[in-house]
Amino acid sequence: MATNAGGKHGGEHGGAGGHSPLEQFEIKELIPINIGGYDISFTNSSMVMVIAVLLVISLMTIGTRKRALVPGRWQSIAEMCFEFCANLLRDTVGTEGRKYFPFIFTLFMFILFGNMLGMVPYSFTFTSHIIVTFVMAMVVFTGVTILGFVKHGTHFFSFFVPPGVSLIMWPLMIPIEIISYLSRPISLAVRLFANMTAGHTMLKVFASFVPALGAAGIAPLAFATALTGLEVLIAFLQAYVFTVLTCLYISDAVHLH
Amino acid sequence: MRIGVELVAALIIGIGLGYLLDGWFGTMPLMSLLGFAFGAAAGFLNVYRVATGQGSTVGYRKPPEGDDKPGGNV
Repeated sequence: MATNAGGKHGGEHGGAGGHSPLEQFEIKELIPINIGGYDISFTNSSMVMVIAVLLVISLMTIGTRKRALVPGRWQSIAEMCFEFCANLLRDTVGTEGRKYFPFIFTLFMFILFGNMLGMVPYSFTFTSHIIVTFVMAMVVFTGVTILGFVKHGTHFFSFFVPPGVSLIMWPLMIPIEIISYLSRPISLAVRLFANMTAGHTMLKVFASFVPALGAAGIAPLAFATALTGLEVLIAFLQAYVFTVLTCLYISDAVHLH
Repeated sequence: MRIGVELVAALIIGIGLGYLLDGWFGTMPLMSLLGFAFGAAAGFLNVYRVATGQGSTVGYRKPPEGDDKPGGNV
């Protein structure tokens, strides 16, 4: 590790120990594509996304192939994922939310697999890039706003007027409510991104202590092992949180107060 | 984690909107300052809603009684 410090790669890798803990988030071009001046190369991030989508599709295809009354292992997993999302949607939105199930399920499985694939050593976590999470949050946000307009028309604007507030307070309350509404995609995006980035960086930092400390490295090794378990939990939890909040936003748009 | 993000997100939107309006109207510090104030207020409102278990709903709304609506403190 330390031998690299004075070496030729010093400028590229940065960090005292040779490898920066942030190196894992680096985007690498796999197939350079350039159309009309825009760089739309196929990167390692895109590759992991494709792998995640393929894994989800194969899981659901294998799981639903037999359609047994008593489910086998794969069918159990597929049914568990399905029921988890279905219950989530029913608890938050109610029965009207049934038609949004495909979207919610896709979102949940994509984020979950993205987070979980990031836990595989040497792989890449695409949810650790804010642009990815922000685009997902913006899709949710614009979708929910359009849904609100389609369902309620201009009545949707009553969303920004809290009931029971006197007319004098309106000029004060409406901007606050609008800002509060507009801050949704940011808080949605930042939460997922920050959790994934912070967790993976911490894991890498503790892992880099292991070779540096020699025999005493057993302590950070134990800690890193425990942290890996915690990270798996967070990977699931953040996918869940993103999905729950999406459900809540849909619920807000569907049943306007 | 949740609380901090909510506060900062509302501030970013508030100041960003103010800055944008300043660029359009040429009233440089005015709208940004106003946006900062409104953003801070919206942030505190968000935090208040999360803390009182109203979830991330816009508008003052009492949580439905007897209905254990999840997502209050996620």
